[in-house]
Amino acid sequence: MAFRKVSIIGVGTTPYGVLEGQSLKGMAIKACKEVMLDSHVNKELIQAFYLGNYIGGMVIGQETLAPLIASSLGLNKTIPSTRVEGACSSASIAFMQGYWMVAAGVYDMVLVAGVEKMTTATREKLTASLVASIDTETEGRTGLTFPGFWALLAQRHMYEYGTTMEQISMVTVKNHQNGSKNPRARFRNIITLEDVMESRLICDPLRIFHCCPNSDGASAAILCPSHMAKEFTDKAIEVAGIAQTTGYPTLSEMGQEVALPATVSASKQAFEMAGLKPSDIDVVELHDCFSPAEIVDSEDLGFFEKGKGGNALLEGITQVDGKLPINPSGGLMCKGHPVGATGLGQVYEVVMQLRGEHENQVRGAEIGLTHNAGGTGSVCCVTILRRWL
Amino acid sequence: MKETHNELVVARCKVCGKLILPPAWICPQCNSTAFEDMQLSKVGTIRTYTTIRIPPLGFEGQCPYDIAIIEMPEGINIPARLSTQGQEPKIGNKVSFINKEAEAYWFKLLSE
Repeated sequence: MAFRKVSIIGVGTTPYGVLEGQSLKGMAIKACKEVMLDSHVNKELIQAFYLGNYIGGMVIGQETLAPLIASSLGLNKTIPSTRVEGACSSASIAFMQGYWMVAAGVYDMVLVAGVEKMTTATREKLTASLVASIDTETEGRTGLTFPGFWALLAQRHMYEYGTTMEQISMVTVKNHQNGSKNPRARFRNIITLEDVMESRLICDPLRIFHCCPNSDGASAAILCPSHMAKEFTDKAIEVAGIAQTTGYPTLSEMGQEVALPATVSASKQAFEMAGLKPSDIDVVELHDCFSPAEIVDSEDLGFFEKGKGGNALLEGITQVDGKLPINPSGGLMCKGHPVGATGLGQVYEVVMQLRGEHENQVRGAEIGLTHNAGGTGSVCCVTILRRWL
Repeated sequence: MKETHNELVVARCKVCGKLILPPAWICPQCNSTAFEDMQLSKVGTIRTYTTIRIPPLGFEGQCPYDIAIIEMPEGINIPARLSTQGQEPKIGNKVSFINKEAEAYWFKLLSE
């Protein structure tokens, strides 16, 4: 079966952060209305709607979100609207569903979105909701948390490869420099290495500034076959490669604590599909939910040899003017992490880079990659996006 | 699966021998559904560890507490609570199984 090529003909997003007075539904509708304006697509043309959301049920008490949002948007009543969940990868999974439906010729026009409301929840409720993707029958029994998971990986990475807390902390410093230029970022301030290394301990060796901030936000995109894209926009971005993988949800099963196999295999598949290699990528938005994650992910994606990610960062390779800019948006660390929206937020940032319209522009960026991980290594989505030549 | 609290018991696939943290439903390696209890030795090695200072729901009164991944000589890694008795744990330290409490495995640091 020959699949059709698929392009992103529009993107939309809210800023990420504390969006006071904006509801889960309200934010999703805002992002979806923006994507329709950006793509010049009338809502009558949408043939399917996929929505990513992770903790709306537990935090807001609202389920069946996709039809509720579709109805408020006034989408056609004859189309399917479906919510997907894969922890922090939820929005990328929605994107992947839309991609294959268009590629397979089932639909010509699909709206995909992701949304999360976090900042109105109590800390107890929020922690309980997020921890719900850790296996409650095994590792959850120990009282493990998400920062705890990344602390376990950071300790072992430092032990095996000599990665330092300075390297790990520089992820936060770099991403704040980037985020200070991004009007969609929750934090716009520059912070120093000392600020990071002297901040409050959360779970040794990780401190509060090694953890990304909870945020509210929604992001959306519209996908159609590449051959139809020109009817709507001259700024279409093609999806060159895409993959979603299943990993080991516990460290016990993983058998090591220095890499996420789900990332390694998603990256390999996406590069194979695109016919590209890591050195072809001009800009990356990856899942820096905790500072050590950026170092581990940059290795697992194939950009650096295992154990060399920390050095690459200190050498400036991953800065916006470096050879391989990582998280020029500020990443999850500074832009914020509305868990069910983040994957499409990354797509938004990369699309803007490839259009040449980003506030923290990587010069001449033509090919970009997004990496969105969910749970404690359970899910990973990678997409490779390419400007039309 | 018999529930013993003072013995370190995991599930062993009767067909391929893979060790699995209970509950075991199906062997992810060979698809077998036949398991037997296997008692492990008591001493393992710390692969990595952390101290949790911001707890999830239900663990508030226990904070701060230590979590470690313990490598057992039989070939399985166990997520565990670690009793350090005031000592600073290190990767490679030997630890000894204490018991299973509230469904969590507890180990203590052995002095070097």
